[in-house]
Parts: sequence; structure tokens; C-alpha cells
Amino acid sequence: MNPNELELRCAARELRDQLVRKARRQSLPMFPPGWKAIERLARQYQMAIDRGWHRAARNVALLLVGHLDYLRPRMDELNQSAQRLANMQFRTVHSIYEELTDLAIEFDEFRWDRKTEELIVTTAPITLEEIPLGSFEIRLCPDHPSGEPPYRIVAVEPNPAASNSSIVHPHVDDGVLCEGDGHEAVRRALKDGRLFDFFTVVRQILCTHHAGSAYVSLDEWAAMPCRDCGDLVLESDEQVCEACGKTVCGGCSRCCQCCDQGFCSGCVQTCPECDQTICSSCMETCDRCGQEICPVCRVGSLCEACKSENPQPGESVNAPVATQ
Amino acid sequence: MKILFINNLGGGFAGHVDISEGTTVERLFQERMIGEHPENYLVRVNRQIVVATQLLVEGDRVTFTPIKIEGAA
Repeated sequence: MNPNELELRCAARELRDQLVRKARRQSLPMFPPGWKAIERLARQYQMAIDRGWHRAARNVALLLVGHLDYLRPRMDELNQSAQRLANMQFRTVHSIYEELTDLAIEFDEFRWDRKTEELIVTTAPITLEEIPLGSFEIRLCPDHPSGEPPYRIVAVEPNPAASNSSIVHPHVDDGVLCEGDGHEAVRRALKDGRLFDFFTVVRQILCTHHAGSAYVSLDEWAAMPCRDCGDLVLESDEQVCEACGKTVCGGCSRCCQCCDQGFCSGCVQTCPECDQTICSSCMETCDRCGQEICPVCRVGSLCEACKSENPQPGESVNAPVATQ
Repeated sequence: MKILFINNLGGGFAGHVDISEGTTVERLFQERMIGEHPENYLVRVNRQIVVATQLLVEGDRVTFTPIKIEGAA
């Protein structure tokens, strides 16, 4: 639901105050060092002239020329900053109000959060390449702290990449949109205070999938990393370890020779006698020495080594042992 | 007559330009967005949706924003 007229006017007033506060914080750059030296050198020159020390006066004049040459570009910069501050103009509350009214028409939802001092626009639900990503809030804080991004993207009903929950959109990581081709347009709109254009451009970036430069591309959106090798496994190729439930790729999946189920490398062992891959559930132990051994190599209740040392009644130590 | 023209393609442009009387939105697009196709753009005059044949007047604010703007990583 969009704000009513009164709320829009209040928002426009608070937004203007915020913009003025931000602008007023811009201060003149410091006077360049060496400024006071000019005054000192001028006094020294006059003193030298008064005392008839013409050579000394000439030397001081040369120093004065050097200092003035150093200061000239710095004074030009100071002049430009002062002119900018003197010519600074602020938008009227009414012009901001008109722009907020147009924002309320253009976007599904729009509001001014007085607590966080953010202008928040909600996009319509976005689906890219048949993957529903949901709506996104574009939260702009015009008077943001220095060093922090001026806006962030928040998924309303997140459908993040399976491999990374902080990526809720192919071009958004942890709330930060990588603007790509839209960077200059976003920067100019923010610099000029064109709120409507800013939100429009950001929305169009969110509505576009650039597969060649995405944090996670949409064809890998549901892909999970293989537990063993770390590669992303597409849903169609995904195998699941029967023991721990982790995702395994086809190349890393191990088959238990007893139960014929698939497992990751952490849930299988190798039988020390036949070198076959056996899962933890199928693996047995020798009753005498405790050695882990596959059911095939475990004859009776003993491993081969223990069985040969302790033959059953009627068998000799050297009697051949049946093997698989 | 002067209008405020904003082009959000690439590096972008935002400034006042002179146009002749009787210039429509469509004609402005053809003159300023050479090689581009209007169906690939959101066109707003004074932040409102308009028809291509709308005549522009002094002080109008015209914005052309690409529908597809590719982000990055």
C-alpha cells in the first residue's frame, strides 16, 4: 500500500532536510600549508628594504615567488570549492513531493521509513528464466554514512542460490547490487538527486539476467556443491549420499559393493582384505581382533587372519579358506 | 525550446537540450538515440507513460531508460 498525501508531504519534508544536512556537511578544504609563510616573507622583505639590505631583499623575493607558485593551484581548488558551496541549491519540498508521488504510481509499493531514514521501493515479483526470485526492496538512504553504499537490495521472499544463501539475485550479493552497465546511470542519478530515475534504473538491472557475469548464473541456481570435490552439481545430475544426505556429483559418488547404494567418500571404507568399497552400515567387525571387514571376507565371525590362527573344529590351520 | 533530456543508456546524459516546435517523443528518440529501438526503452515524459506521438512542450522532462541493463558480479 502506498502512502497517502499527508504521508508523502511529511516524507518529502524529511527527505529534503536529510539532503540539506548532507550538503551542509561539505566543508571547505583546509587552507594549504605555506599560507602563513607568505606573510612572514612579506614582513622580512619589507624589513630588508627598510635596512637597505638589497641582496637579502632579493633572496626573500625569490622565496616569495616559490611559495606563491606552490600555492597558486591550491588556491584555485579552494576557489572552486567555495564557489560550489556558494552556488549550492536545494530542491524544494514541493518538487520532492511531486517526485515521490510519481514513484508511488510507478512502483507496486513505496514508503519512507522514518526510523532508518530510508526511501524504500518494492518491485513487482521478478522471474528470470523461469526462476521466481520474488519482489525486491530497493532501500535508499540519501544521507548514508561515508564509506557505505547509498542503497541496498533486500529480497522480500528470498529464493537464494542453493550454493550461497547471501545471493538472492544473480547480481546481488549480501544486499549489494553489482550495477554493471548501469553503474554510470545510477551514479549520475544519485548525484543529481533524480530519485525516480535512480529507482527505475536499479529496477531494470534487477529485471535483467546477464549470464556471463553473475555471482551464480540461473542455470546453476538450484545447483549444490559436491561434498567431495566442491564443484556445483546441477539438479539433473545430483546424487545424494544414502548415509549423510549430502550432495555428491557423479564422479565422486561411491557404490557400496554390498548394498549397491551410493555414498560420499566420508561414508564409505575400503575392506582391508578385498579392497572393495563398503559403506559404514554394511561394514562388519571381526569378533576377535575388532578389525573392520566386509561381510564377504568375514567368515563366520572372524576375519581371515584370526580364522587362520584359530581354525574351527575339523579344520586344519593350512586348510584352504573359501574366498569370494 | 528547451527540455530536460535524460538518457540512461551506458554513461548516460542529463541536461537541457534545444528542440524545435512540434517535436514528438518519437522524433526526439530518432534524433537522440541513433541506432537504438524504442521498443527496447522505457520512455517517460515528466515521469509519466506517454504515447510516441505526444508533442513535447517547453520545460518537459524526457527520460529514455533501457529495459535491459546488464548487471555484473
